Amino acid sequence: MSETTEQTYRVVLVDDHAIFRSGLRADLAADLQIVGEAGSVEQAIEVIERERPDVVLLDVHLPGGRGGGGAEVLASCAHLFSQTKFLALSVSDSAQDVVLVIRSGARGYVTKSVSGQEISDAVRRVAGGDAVFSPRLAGFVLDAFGSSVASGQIDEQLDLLTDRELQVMRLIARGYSYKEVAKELFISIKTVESHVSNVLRKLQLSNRHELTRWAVERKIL
Amino acid sequence: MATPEQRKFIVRSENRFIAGVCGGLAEHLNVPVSYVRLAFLALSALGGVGLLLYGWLWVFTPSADETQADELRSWGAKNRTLAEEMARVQQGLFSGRENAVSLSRWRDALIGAGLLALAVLALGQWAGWNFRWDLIWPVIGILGGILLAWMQIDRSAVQPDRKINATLVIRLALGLVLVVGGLLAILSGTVAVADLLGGFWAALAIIAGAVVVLLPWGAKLWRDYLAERSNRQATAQRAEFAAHLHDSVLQTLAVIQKRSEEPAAVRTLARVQERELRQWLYGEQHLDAEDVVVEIQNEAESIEQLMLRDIDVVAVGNGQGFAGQQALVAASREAMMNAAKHAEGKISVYVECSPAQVEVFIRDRGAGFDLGSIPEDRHGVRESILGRMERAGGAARIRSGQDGTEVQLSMPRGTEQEEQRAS
Repeated sequence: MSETTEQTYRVVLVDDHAIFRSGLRADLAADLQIVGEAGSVEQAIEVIERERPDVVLLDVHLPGGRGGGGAEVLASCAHLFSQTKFLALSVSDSAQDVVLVIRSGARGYVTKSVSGQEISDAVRRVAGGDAVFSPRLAGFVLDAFGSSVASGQIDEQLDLLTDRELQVMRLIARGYSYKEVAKELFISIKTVESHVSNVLRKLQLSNRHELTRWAVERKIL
Repeated sequence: MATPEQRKFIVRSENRFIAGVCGGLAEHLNVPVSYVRLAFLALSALGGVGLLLYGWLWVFTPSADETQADELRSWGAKNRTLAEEMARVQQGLFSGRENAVSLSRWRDALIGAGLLALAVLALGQWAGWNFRWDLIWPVIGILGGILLAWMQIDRSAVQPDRKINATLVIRLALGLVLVVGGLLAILSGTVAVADLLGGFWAALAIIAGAVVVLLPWGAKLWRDYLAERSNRQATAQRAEFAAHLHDSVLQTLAVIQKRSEEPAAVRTLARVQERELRQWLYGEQHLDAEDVVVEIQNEAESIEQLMLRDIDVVAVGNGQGFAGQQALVAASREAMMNAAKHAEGKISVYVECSPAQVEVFIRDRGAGFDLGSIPEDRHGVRESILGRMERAGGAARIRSGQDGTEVQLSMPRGTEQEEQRAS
């Protein structure tokens, strides 16, 4: 698909449904080498510590541990973030799940219903250090950051999206791929990727009060 | 929001010394609490009118807790999401509102009876009966003390895990002093003071012993009760889930098995079921059925079922009741229908509601078409999308290329009334 197909990535699959794991195993592209699987929080932490993979495909809802699911795995593996990237997977695309795992450190989010091809692309993108935004995640970001009402304690670096970032988010929410966004805005794909990465960082670090209020409304915090 | 100063209904406030009547009245009349309290004291000194008024208000006004419980109850009528249910169970809201209701009924009856008794006594006195007021006052003191102490159950039951605060302790102590004082006053008529004092210490020792022995039992009983109650709630929830899963998911699975030779049908069935289940579990129930977002989602769903296609709807914000809403939803439906009929691949719908306007983008991955090449007599795009939007005061744009087609709809968001005034 992309120019970097020569490189193989080591992937760990974390999902409590064996049927889904075997389906995904069959669906993933050949350059993605699955080095381990896990079905619970404890197993996941153990396998990730042992294998140190490039990418972990992490189910949001996992049994075991203290009941924290995928977010708990992320919290326990935070020291590996520089080496191992996490891509969250879930059947649900509810706001709770998405925001929780992203704020816990996942680099992207895809729903389980997308094709093996799309998941493979997302894995490569995450492995390359970029963020993966689904249309829905872009919608959440716009929802949370969208209101332009400035309040007293806004940290410009973290709490506001630039106009360009807003444009990129809106196009992604409209179903555009990164390539199409780049074409639409007359910028390079690399630039789109860096905008998306910036938005991800803001989403993870901002304590913008709208984000908090929005999270509280949806019973996330 | 607070520009027209709205007078609040009298609700017995949380800020209270006895039952929160003064606080509630102060909020209602918008005067400082201390004035109201002073007024009540003065009225009480004038032949007990204040006391009667206080009692009367106490019985007939709801407390803040109860009002909250009422709100929760009406809220409870609505369908809750799983997450909300779980949160509610954790917060123990169920217990709170049940206790508040049962206790308040109890208390109303008690206070009513007390006031009635007082009235009968006063009437009797006035009629010339000779009462032993030296006995009646202590009895009233005891009853008042008991009431004051029991009232605290109300408070601590509503917030079981809240730390015991100072006012609660003071009120409890006051109640205890009233009761003990009243008892002593009655007994002092028949028993010598020195004996009383000795008896007092003996009683204290006995009580202390009993408490030490019985405390662990009491605590265990309480814990068992709590566990039992949360079990019961969990069981009820499980039953509800099971009923729902049976009604929808199991039925669909049965149909899927029967029609397993038709991949398209199976796919649609699975998709529809997934949507329904997801709606039930995590649904956006904070939105009205009238909301433009919900309406477009419903249209997308019906087209999915009709055309066996996948449509992803992403929405930002929400809005309803603007003039062009119907036209916007109808045009969106038409655009989604066209995409489903003519284009392959994924269909993405994005709805953005800003304060000024509502925009809808319908994107497909089809081969694209040239708007100019559509014959004049074909109504689909020109009439149902472009014409419809323009007549309703909105705008529609169609971009079509080799990457697919995107229909862009926008509708200004004045309310119906504003539109009428403007025209």
